[in-house]
Amino acid sequence: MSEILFENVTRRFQLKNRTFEALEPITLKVAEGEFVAVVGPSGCGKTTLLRMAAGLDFPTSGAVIVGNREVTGPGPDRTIVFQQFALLPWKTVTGNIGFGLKCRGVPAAARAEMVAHYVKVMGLSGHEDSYPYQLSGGMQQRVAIARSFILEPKLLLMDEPFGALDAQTRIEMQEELIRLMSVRRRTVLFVTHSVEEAVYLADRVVVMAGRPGRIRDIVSVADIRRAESWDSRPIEDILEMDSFVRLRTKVWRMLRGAALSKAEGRSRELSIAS
Amino acid sequence: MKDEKYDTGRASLIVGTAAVAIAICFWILGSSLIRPVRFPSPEQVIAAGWQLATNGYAGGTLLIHTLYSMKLALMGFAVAVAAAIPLGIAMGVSRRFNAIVNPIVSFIRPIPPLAWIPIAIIWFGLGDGAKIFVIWFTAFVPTLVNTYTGVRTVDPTLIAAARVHGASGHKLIFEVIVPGAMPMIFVGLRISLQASWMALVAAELVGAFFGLGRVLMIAAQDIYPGMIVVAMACVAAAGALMTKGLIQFERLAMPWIRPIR
Amino acid sequence: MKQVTQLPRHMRANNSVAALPLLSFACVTVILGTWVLSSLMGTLRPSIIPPPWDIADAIYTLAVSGFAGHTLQTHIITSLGRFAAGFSLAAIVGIPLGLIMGWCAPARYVVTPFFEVFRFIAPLAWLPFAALWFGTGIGGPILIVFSGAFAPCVINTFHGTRLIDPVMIEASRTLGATSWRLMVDILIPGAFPSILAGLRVSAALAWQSLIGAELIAATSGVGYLIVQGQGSFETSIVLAGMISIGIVGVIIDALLRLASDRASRKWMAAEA
Repeated sequence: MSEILFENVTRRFQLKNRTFEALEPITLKVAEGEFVAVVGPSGCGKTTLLRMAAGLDFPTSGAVIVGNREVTGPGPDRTIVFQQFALLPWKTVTGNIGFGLKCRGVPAAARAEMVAHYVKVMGLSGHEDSYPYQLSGGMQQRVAIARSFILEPKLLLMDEPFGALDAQTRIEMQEELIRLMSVRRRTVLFVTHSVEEAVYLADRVVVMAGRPGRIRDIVSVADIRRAESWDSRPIEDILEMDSFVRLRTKVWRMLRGAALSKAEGRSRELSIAS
Repeated sequence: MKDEKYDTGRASLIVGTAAVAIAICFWILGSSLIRPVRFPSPEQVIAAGWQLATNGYAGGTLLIHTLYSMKLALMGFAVAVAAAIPLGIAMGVSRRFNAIVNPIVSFIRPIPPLAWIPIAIIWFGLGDGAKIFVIWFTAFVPTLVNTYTGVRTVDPTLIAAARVHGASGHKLIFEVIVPGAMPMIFVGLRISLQASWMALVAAELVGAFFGLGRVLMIAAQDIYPGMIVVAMACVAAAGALMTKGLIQFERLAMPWIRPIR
Repeated sequence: MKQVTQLPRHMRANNSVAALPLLSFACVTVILGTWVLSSLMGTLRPSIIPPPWDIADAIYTLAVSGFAGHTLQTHIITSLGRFAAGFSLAAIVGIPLGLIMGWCAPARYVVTPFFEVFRFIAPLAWLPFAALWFGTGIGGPILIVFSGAFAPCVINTFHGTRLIDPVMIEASRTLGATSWRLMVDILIPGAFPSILAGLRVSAALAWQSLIGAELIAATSGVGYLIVQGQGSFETSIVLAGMISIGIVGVIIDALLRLASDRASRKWMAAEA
């Protein structure tokens, strides 16, 4: 019961003297257990979509429905992993990971046990009492992911979670995510700038165009992923595979097409004007 | 800037000490040239200091005066801060509460704390009550303003993350907003403390039976420049001591802040 | 573009946010009303908390016939004159000092020990020496104002220089900039926002110190005015004086803020 349904969702911002349409009516369905990545140029509204699923923002019209219930606010069943980690600086690693459980009222002993488990799973052993400022970017993001996972959310929302990490750490984290997904299947909505990351991780890649935000196309990766068992291969192999390259190029072309048609349209306007 | 690489602690210590030594030489020289009444020599200052410490002056010894002043200042400071922090948090968290209280605060804010001394004397007489009132007012406003600002400038992403994980209401305030605002609250505390100390000295200059301000006043009346310098030095030292104490407390209270230097 | 969040659908109908200014207005009215009523009913002793019309009357009398030797305006102008003198002196000496301290380390090593010592001396503690050296002349209050305004000027200027990215300096050096050029085109503009912030803090401290000084050791000025009022138990005059002190302080700060906004818009310096 964790599907997401964006039903004719729009988002308008009221600026000083005009209305800015950030999202045109968008209809998108994410099935239970599906990993959907959203790519698009800056400002196309992909983060807005994510925040609406989280309940941190609300559509101007249309409805966002998660698991058959309309979203009315944030909650631990739909956790977000942020690009800036958003760890509470005044809590240690264990404090941060256990925060959601504490809010839920889980007693300290049970909490400590669960937190210890996730510390081990996420490779954070030895840093239990460190504060965020003492950790590297990659470790901080591991804490943020642990913080989300420990709540066993129905829906995992990720907003460019690896964007602030260096290239090597980023690849490690991508592999880590695949591994965690193989242990337990979750519904994931993953926003990213990186086409490669999207194709590597997702079952479906949603390509958005911007100004106003709309879905340009959706590329299905799931069949190929299953057929060629991507999840059990190292990332270096996958990056070289023909199928991967073809999919990646396809998504790239769509993205650039969106940008090109926007530029074409503008130059056409100019030539008409002159 | 220039020569950043050679910014070693030893260099600064050497140059600093040399500069101070040269200044003291100038002082000794200067005081023998200028009339001693206007400008005390180091010997005079040391003699005055000795007298204050042992025999006492203006009604008490150094210890009595200093402790008396510090006690008053810290009392006023503590009471003011105990009121200002919860009020600031409430104002920051509830827009409605802010709308009620803010007009009063905005009206009181621009009035310099020392300007409250005359009215405090009319209302409370010449005793310690007036002093505590003035100190209370002096310490109240900076902490209130900084607490409010601290609460309102907590990183919204942190609040979003906490809400996503299920925090709300009391939990959100005490586990997220208050710790998030703490750096700014401490800035306010520091300003409040220094302002309180300044207000106390001023109040004591106007009228008091004990305290460093009284020492200053009597020394001025007696035209005893050595003692004036001693009193000034004590005021500075006590102020510095209290501030450093606060900084230590700050470091203990916020172990999660990356230590500077 | 900032993320402007929207209310969820079920909350959008009743928008109670607009009622806030009304709430403020209502509270102020309640307080004023209570004050007026209690004065009329006689529950407030006029010598402790005078009715609003007494204060208004006091302001009028002060402006027209004066008190303690001068009219209100003259007192204010006298105070402002001392403030301006001490404040400008602090800025003229303090800002270059802060810049030099930021520019070369030796200067910093020399100045810092003295600075740390003198910084903690409450401005009013200088009163005895001010009286000794300047008697009742204008030098006394100016010394106090200077000692209050000096430290923030230096500290904020110095911090402003610290905030300049050293990479900018290196880049300019590789482009052939001389030390003079560096100082004029990078150091000063880069530290500018901090300097202006420091000026605002200085001005507030200067005004406060001035009032304090005038309370104790002056024969004119608004501080002198209110202490004389206290001596004669003229509560309305004291309150009227306090209000004028507050207003002048607000105006000074507003003017500085205006200047700082305009200057930083033109300069577009990096955010401090």
